[in-house]
Amino acid sequence: MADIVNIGLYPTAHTTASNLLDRFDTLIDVAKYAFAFAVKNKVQIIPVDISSTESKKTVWNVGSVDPDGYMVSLIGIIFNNTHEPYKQIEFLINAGLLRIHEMIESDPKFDIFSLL
Amino acid sequence: MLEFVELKITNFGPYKDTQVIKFDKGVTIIWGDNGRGKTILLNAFRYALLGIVKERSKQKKNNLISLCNWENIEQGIYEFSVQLSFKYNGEPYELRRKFQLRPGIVEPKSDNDFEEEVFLQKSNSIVSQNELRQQLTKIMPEQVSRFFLFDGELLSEYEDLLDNNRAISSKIKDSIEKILGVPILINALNDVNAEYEKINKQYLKIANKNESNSQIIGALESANVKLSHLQRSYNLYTKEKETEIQRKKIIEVELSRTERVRAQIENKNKLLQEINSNEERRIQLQATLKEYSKDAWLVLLNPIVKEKLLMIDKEIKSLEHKQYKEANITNEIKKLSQAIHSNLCPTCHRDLEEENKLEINNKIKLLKETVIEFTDSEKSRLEYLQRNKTILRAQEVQNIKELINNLNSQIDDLTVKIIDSKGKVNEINQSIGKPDQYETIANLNNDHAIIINNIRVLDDTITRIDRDIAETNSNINILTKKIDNTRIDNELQNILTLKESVLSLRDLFKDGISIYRDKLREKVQLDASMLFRRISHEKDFVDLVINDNYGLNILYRDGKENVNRSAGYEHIIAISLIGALQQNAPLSGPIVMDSPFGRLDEVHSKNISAALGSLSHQVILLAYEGEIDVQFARHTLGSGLSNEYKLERISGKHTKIVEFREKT
Repeated sequence: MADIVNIGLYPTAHTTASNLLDRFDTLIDVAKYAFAFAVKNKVQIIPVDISSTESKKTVWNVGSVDPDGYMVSLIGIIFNNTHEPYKQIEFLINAGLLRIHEMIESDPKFDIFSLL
Repeated sequence: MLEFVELKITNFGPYKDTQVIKFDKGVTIIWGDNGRGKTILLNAFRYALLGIVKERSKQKKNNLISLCNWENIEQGIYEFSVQLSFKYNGEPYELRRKFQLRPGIVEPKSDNDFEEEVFLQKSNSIVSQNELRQQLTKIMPEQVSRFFLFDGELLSEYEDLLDNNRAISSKIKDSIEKILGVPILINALNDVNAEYEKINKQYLKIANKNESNSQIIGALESANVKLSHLQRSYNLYTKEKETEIQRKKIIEVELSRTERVRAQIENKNKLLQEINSNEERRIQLQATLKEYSKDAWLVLLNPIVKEKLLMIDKEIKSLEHKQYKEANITNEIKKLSQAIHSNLCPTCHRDLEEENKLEINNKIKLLKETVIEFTDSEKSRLEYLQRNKTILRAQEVQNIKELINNLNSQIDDLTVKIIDSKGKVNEINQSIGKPDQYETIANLNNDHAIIINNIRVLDDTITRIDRDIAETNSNINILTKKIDNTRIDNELQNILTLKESVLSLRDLFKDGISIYRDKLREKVQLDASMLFRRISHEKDFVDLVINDNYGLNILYRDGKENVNRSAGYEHIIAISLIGALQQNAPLSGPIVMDSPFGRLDEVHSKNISAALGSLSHQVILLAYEGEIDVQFARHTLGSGLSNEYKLERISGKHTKIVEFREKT
């Protein structure tokens, strides 16, 4: 099956990312941060619930999110998987943002950079 | 002398129907708790005598409606009346004032919807409406009413007599002089001045006939015109200065009233500045943070990338080692094979013996058995790993974690400060309210400074004009003397004699006023001091000293003046002054006092009640029982206490005046 050409944010992920724009310049910066968080914590340990029926709020061309292909390479290197990498990147971005959303919900004083 | 006989009030405030209070010589006490209508009763006296009512609240616009009986208002009845029977210089008078709705008005909206009826009966004849006002002004001039009808608030105004710059002090001073009879002399002086002007005109006319005088006369006329202009300017600027002083006082009251609000506005502005500056700083820090946070995801990946790089390095090393080893052995085999083929020793380059060849072949055989092949797949793997290593290394970032955290925590601190300041601003906003008045309040200091400057400029101008007036007067005197020295005929001689007589009379009155004022002040000081010593229980206070405004200061035993007297003593001095004025005034009458003991301690309240009889031949006291002890008042005043009434509550809107004194 062919990989996706656009990467999008689901509603909750989009709201969470938008709320972090006082610390990040663009939604893509937040998305990459969430992606890194998901990668660092190994996606399988993050309880995510992304409904595929939800429509995506923000959609970027894959070239905008990963202009130098580093994220795709990383997926290949870290996960030893080159099958539909952008689909995986999209999943990791949304999963990361949902986890961050949960953390903010449980602690309103949650500091996004405490993840570093 | 004025003496009250009876007061009938009908449907006035809480006093429903017609209620009567009778007065004799001595002290009448009307007891009433707060809210029963003591101040309204004082207003009833004021209304009866002067036809005016003092508003308790400056915001109250429809004063007359509020004076109609409060129960009657509910039934749509709007009218009230006051009837005062009194004796003036032994003659009986009856004064009746009534307010009622104008024809056609059912429910009044303002004071304009009322009309007033006034009747005055002297002995058995009705005083005509034309004479009525004149008669009443003679009996009780409004200007001096403050010495007969007063409450605690009015008493406190006497403090201002000590301040020459206050407009009220000059107003009270005029009132005091009026009650003491000074205006009689001033009026006489004004009459003499008018006469002098008339004679002076005649004199100039006659002197003008003399040709030799004409030039001097011309100069004299010009000087007189100049003097008249200067005097007009002097009066104008003096009046303007008085207005400015009045404005200054209003602003000072406003400044004092709004002191807390102004401090809060200042604090709020400071907070708003802080908020702005913190918000600007936060925006700058956020911009910097956003630059760094672009790479934050790489920082987040650092540990995992490092771990992966370690693994890659290890595998690369292992593969490279194997590749190197295989290349070495292959190279050795190649070199040995070449030696056999060329029959030359690779080390010493001599011809090989058969024995050597055998040995080399064995070594080749052994090496071939040892070599492990570096496969194509391993070669691809190595290339793959090296490529990945390059990719991962390319994205390695400096550790900006601390920098980000530092910026982040600075932003958090600023956010807390901003929220805190905004909270304080909200608190202030809720506390001070009405933002539309902020500008006016904030401008008060500025307005005050402008007015002080205006007063200074006016003072300078008035001083300059005063100097010009003196100069012009001196010039007029010189010119007049010049005329006098010229040839004069009989007519001129006669008018000159008359002029000199009037001038002497003018000086006499001027001196007389000054001497009378000094004597009055002396007598007022003496009598007030005596009364003060009776009331005060502070042994160190021995006397009172009077100033030009009739303001009184306390004198210590050591001769020094007390500059920081208490509010209570302010009260005692005011009462002492009123007593002294009553004793020295040609105009005397009953004193009506509303709650006069509010600021006094028990000892002073008792001392004042004991001294009440000396204040006037008739004293009417409106008091509540906590203010002064009933038994003490009765005991102290003894036969001096002529009547007692009590304001009895029928309902919140209805008070009944009942006789209270226990008959013995």
